[in-house]
Amino acid sequence: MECLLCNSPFSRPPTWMGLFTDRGQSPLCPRCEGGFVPAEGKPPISDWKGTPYEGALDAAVSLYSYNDVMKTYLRQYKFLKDAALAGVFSEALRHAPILKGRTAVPVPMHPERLAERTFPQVEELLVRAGIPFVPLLEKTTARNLGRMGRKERMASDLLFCLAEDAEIRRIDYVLVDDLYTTGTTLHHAAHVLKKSGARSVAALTLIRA
Amino acid sequence: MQEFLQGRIWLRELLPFGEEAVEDLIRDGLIGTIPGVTTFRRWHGGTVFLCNRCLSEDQRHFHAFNCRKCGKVCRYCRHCLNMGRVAECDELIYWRGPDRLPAGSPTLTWEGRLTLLQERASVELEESLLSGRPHLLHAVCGAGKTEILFRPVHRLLSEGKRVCIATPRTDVVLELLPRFDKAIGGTVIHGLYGGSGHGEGLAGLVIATAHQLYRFREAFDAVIVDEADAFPYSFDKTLRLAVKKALKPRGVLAVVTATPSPAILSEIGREGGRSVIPVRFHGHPLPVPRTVPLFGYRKKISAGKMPDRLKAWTKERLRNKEPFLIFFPSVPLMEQCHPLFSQLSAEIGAVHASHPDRRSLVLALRGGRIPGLLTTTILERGITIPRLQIAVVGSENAVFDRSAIIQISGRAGRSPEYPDGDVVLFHHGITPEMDAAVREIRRLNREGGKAFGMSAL
Repeated sequence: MECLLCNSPFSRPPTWMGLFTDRGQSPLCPRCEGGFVPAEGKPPISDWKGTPYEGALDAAVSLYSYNDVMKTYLRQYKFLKDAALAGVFSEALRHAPILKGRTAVPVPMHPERLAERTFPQVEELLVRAGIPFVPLLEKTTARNLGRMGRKERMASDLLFCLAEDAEIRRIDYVLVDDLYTTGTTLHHAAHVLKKSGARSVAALTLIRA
Repeated sequence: MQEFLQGRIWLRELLPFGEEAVEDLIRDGLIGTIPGVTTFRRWHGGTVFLCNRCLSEDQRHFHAFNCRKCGKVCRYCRHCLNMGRVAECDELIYWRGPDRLPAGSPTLTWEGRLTLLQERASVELEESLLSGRPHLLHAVCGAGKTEILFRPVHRLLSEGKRVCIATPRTDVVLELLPRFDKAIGGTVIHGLYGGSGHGEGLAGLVIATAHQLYRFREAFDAVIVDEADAFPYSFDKTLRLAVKKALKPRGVLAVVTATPSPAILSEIGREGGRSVIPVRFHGHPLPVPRTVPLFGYRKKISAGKMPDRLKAWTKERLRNKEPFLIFFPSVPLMEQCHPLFSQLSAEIGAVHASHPDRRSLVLALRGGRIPGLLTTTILERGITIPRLQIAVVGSENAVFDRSAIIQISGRAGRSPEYPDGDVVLFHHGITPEMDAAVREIRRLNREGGKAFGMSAL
């Protein structure tokens, strides 16, 4: 085996399961794998108290913190467009408790961005993890939040609308995204879902920046 | 645009020019395009993917995904991913129009003198390169290989030819670049490595890491591969193909190495030229490594004890105030040992490939500020420190193959004032590779002694 991140060869301990399937085994070497640190605490959704988006999100969970190894990962996955890396966190995502009893909704990309990136990075994570999801949202602006400051982000116009023929039921949804920075993206998305009749909306992000 | 594209093969998306200008030139037939990844069929009927930039055919390098750009299942090459992803639906473009000659008239400003042997090798190399025949320059560590290259390179440049010096490492590019800048004036020289720019103008001489050659196509009249035995050149078949791709159809390949491997010898072939320099520039023989058994050292080190012989050796170096390098086969073993060495002297440092201040530690050793360094094989070449003493711990390990041991021994006794140096291989059983290395060094010393007495000066 070669590590997907550092390209160094490594071997896994042999298991009976390993004879038949790769499921549940990391495609990274133990060194890289060990570099990912679980996020401390939950994303601060209380920051949004007093804004029109207060209460849009009912709960939020991030899996990992944004350390150097994670930055390398994200750079290679998103910037170098290495779609093979989508499978790295399959196991962790699959076992996230917040997914239980909720319907996953990936945070979408703008069609223009998608054509550039060639694959939807959040959906790809879910596809590789084998988590069923419904694409209910559409992004309305191609602007990049990454270039904006915190104030600007929190005050920006609504970023999402419902997708055509999307049908929101009175059930519990969980939004899935890669990064939680200020929470603008997730609050906007949750706001749209709530307005259209969702019972509750939670958020699961891979990383807490 | 020609200055940039001539000889290069580039991902269309990443071109630093406007899309319209590119479109116009494609229509005029001055720029050609090929798909990034193509498929072909093997004799047994299987379909094989091929990356047209790095020429990788290893199917493990190709990852399929659902591409939203072309709407199909698309494959991309993970082997050269760092240079920008190349997928099936991407286009690579190259210059198809008439070639332009590199500007300027190069002058040789180098004024040093060559020894007799260097002189002869230099002349032979020049002859081979001019007559279009591959050449192998087999020179021991510390023979002064760079100086030998100056004159042949200058000669080729002054005939309007484009030359590339390919090295395995960025460190070497950074070391060679200023030396060539000083030695050859009046021409454009580019140094290319991961993270460098792409250089201004059309360069006559390109000094690049071997990986950068993926980005060239029929660019050079001569490619000189420096330290050809070094990782990853010796490992990677695609790198060897990349050198071929970077050469013009009638271009020549020259290989410079201290330890020619069978693969390199076959690359040069029988009709290729060959020069051998069996002695160092100061004329003293190479230090021959001695083997010292250190059975069960792993167990002892895991138990937190330093093996006695290793301890005695290190203590003696400390007492004599001789700088020393101790090579380890792996980073974990080295880190296990580091605290044990710290008990002998707190200043002993440890470096490995991803160490942040690796360069400053090496400088500290050279400046005598620290007594010695523990290292992995990253320091096996390109280090010159007077009076350096060397030990290898666990020399039976597979990473210490013949060429690695020869390179490591070559670190000792490089300065004319202290031509000797102790090279010890601490082992858990002698391997054929160790034997081969010792034999090779003895043979070179014999040849050197026979041809020119003790001194080649």
